[in-house]
Amino acid sequence: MFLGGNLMGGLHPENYFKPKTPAEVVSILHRYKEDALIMGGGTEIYELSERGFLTSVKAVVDLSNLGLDKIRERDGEVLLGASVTLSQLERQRELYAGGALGCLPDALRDLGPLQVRNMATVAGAVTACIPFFDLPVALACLNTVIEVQGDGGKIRRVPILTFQRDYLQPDLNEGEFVAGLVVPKQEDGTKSAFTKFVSNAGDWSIVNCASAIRVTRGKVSSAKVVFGAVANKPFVAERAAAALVGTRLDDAALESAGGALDEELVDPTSDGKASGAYRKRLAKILLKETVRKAASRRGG
Amino acid sequence: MGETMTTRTMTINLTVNGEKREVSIEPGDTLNFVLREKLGLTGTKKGCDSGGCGACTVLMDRKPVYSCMLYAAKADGSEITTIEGLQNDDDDDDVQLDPVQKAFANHYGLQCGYCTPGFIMLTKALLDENPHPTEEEVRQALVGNLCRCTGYTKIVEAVMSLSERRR
Repeated sequence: MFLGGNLMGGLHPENYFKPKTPAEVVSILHRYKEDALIMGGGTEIYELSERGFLTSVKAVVDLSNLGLDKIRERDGEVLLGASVTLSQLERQRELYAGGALGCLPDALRDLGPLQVRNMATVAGAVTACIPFFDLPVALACLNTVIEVQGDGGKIRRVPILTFQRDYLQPDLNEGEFVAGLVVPKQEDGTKSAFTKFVSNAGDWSIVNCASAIRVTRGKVSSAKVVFGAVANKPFVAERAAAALVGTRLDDAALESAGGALDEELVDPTSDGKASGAYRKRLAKILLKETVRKAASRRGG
Repeated sequence: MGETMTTRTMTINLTVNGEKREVSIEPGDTLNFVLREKLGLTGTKKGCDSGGCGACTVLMDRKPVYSCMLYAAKADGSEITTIEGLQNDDDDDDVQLDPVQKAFANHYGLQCGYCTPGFIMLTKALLDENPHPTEEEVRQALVGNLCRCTGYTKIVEAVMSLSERRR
């Protein structure tokens, strides 16, 4: 990324490109190297630029003319093109029926103002690598894979948890861009949920959590728990999830998972919004809430 | 702007309130800047300038967006509707307000008026998609628009007066 804080702020590129083919995108990215900025909806870019973080950008590469605004279904997967907006995905109610997209609808709900959802893209919400965003956590819980396109049209498929390397650091090499996301449909019998804690309706999550569980003959046969806003990238609570497996999700099991979370969530993010200790406590509460919400869902 | 000397200008084409406009812009200009400063359409306001207050709301291809955080280059080729595009002023002597504008006036859905163009544009889009929203749906839809005068009660009443569900 291009983090050189500058009080002047704003985005002042020499050029703004709207390429029509992936080859053009790649060629511009090679030409401008680290001075190029890939733009989805541009909402987060605007916020970062106003804080003076993007003053060195010389070329904006806007992906909106690539025709990547389609949502398609294929063999147990849902493919989201890079330009699919949050409101576009939100409207795919037929896809939600039966729980195919698991906890994703939970995370899309109450996700900021309609004016932002009409512009912001799902791929942008992932590529930005902002740790307190909601969608990456839900998408990680669903084992989403990012399609990275580069030279010669080659596609690299990267699991979201690997793709988001660190704060503002996506796994993109020079000449590469995100062409889309592949969300595996949630398997029958698996149920998932997403919850978050915010200080007000227009604010980012202080902590958010997604969980997917599978119950076989009354007992948890597999579990996954992912938290956001507690680290620089989504945090997978492996011990907490392991503590749920084999249980009937009674109070004792949830208490024990909370204890396991305490051990593995060693040093959660501490900032002006909340201390690490506060986030740790909140994470334990959301763990129980999210797992219970997932378990209470009917059907798949 | 000292460091922007190398910035090139570019031309975009917009259809603003039904009229085709060709505008010369810098690549980093926002739609809000273009509407207000280049096209003189000052009905669209600039408020928080960071995507949260809604005073800058306009419709792009009939969908509400924050013009303050929308790069004008991105809007190239699109159809933009601003508050100025709502009233029918074919006859100079008799300006006809849009029903949404009338409802806000009749229900006192404004005080200082700064946020009003944004609220009206959002309402226009809401009713276009859902002509009979419930009060809860209205409140939910208005979450991205702030009013510091009215306390929202009169605004919600104005919007609900237009909901067919209410009739």
